[in-house]
Amino acid sequence: MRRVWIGLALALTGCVVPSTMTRVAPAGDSCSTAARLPDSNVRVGLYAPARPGDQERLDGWCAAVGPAVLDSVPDGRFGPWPAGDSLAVLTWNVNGGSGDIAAFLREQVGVSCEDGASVGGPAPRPFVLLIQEAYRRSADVPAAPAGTALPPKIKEDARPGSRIDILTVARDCGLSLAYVPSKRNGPQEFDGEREDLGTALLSDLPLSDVIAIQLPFEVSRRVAIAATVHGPGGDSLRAVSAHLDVSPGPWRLLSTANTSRLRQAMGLVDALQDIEVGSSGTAAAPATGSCARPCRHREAMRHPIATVLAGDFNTPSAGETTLKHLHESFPDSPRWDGQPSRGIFPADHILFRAGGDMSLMPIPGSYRRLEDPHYSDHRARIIWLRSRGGTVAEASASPLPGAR
Amino acid sequence: MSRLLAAVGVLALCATARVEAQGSEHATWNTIGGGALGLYSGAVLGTVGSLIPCGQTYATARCVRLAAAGAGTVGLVSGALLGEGDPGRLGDAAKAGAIGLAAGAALGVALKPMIQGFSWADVASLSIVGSAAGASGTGTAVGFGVGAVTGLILWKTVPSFDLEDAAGLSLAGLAAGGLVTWLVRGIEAQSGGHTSGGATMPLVVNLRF
Repeated sequence: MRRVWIGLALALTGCVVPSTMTRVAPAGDSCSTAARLPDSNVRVGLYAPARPGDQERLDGWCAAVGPAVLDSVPDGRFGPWPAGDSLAVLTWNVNGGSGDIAAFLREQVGVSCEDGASVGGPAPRPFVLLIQEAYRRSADVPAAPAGTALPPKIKEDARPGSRIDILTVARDCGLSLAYVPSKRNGPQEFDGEREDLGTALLSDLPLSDVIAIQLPFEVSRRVAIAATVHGPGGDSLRAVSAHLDVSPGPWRLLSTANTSRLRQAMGLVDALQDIEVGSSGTAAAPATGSCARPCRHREAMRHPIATVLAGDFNTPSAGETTLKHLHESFPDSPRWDGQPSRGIFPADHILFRAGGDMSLMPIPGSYRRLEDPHYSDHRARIIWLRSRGGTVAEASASPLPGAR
Repeated sequence: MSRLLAAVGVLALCATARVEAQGSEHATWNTIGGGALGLYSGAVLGTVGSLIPCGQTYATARCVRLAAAGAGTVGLVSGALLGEGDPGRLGDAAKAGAIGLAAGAALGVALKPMIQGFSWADVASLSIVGSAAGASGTGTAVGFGVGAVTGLILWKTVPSFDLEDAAGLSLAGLAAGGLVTWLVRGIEAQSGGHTSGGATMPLVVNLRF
């Protein structure tokens, strides 16, 4: 009789949590408003969850946002990535209009957005800024279909100066931009204009191969954006800006064992894998040599392109399952420095994996938090990547103009 | 949906816990009802208590499932012993579970208009947790309190101990407190060390070695 009870207990409790993850695969026109570019024939490649239930909910959110925006070429004042120079990769959740992006660019990377010239001295070093919760105000953001539940406007703290949307920042600063919205920023209208929120990439280098990746639906629609920058000597870097959900409601929390972020992260990893296979024509090949502890579940892979994945992962601790699995897929990531980036929580991270001819690698000790939040509720993070021919000493000795 | 039906089924089984002991047939139903209530309460508490600690492992889902199964088994055995040995006290536990169910539902209904996307399934989830905690008695509250205080002290004194770890310790304390209560109830019911309100009756315990 006791065996029957124990069997019943195991059967009942065994179906509390699922163990399967949703695969994210190439999508056609399932969310065309997020994949089409204004005034252009270029299309942003779109990846989306393959599970029908996810897609239905994502479509509802997608109908309320405007098109993606790609301005792939920066101002003429920004030159190419100089040979031997290192690249700065920064990630920052700007909290809608809270973060003063213009001041951030001026102080952290030496780009002036006022007079069209860099801040004194040397030209800005090559950089890619990965942004989350960027907002766009535009008449291109459509009125939501009747009955659509729109998320409330993001809470912003008051700050000096005016709010400037991401499109205006890119134009005023002369930077290349890739922006893909995830959701509406409240139901409000402003003289026929509306706001949406999403992820973005800003750079003083040209952007190519822009791809939007819809993450599996958990709490709200999340779309990661990926683009490639090309360095001297043929080395390239794919930069991915992502924003994972905070926490689901009690039902989803209990029924999924709080694996919402893990599901989104693994969907993103799957999509990046598919993209690599699609672009190279071959699957990533196992690397030679032994597999260290972080890749105990997966064999170490050689990837066709170096990739940096960064963003607001909303992780309440640095030991969360999501980060453990992401580190397996990005085994060359720097160690977390123990510094939280949102209040007391280590929400924001930069992860890296080598690829191609393995010439692009993080500079040891260069991964850190930037102290000035510039009025956002998050502090930014930065890492330096050394390109072919660059040296550690060179990159460390000459930081970005004005960098703090 | 199948999980929701399973939960409703377990709750229906729990309803049978309040059966008067009027013969061997009723005693069997008391045992079944007690086992069902213990299984339900233990499994839910095991799930809640393991969410954050298991979220620090590679295999979160498997870890939570294991914790839920283990806690459910403890609850099942303890509840069956309680139902067999002290039906009156089992009835008290069922009543407390019903109060917890109502309190969880009330909290969920209050939160629903305040949180966007808070669904009726979320309301039901709070009811389920409330009933599981209620059925397991004051041990959940004591366990939660001890876990919370310990967690806060560790958070303030140990640099590597995150606030999330403190929250996890609180929930783990809640689950542990509830399970200890079930265990004590089961042991006391079999040893005759405690009786609930109402008529007392001698117990004959058959021990097999």
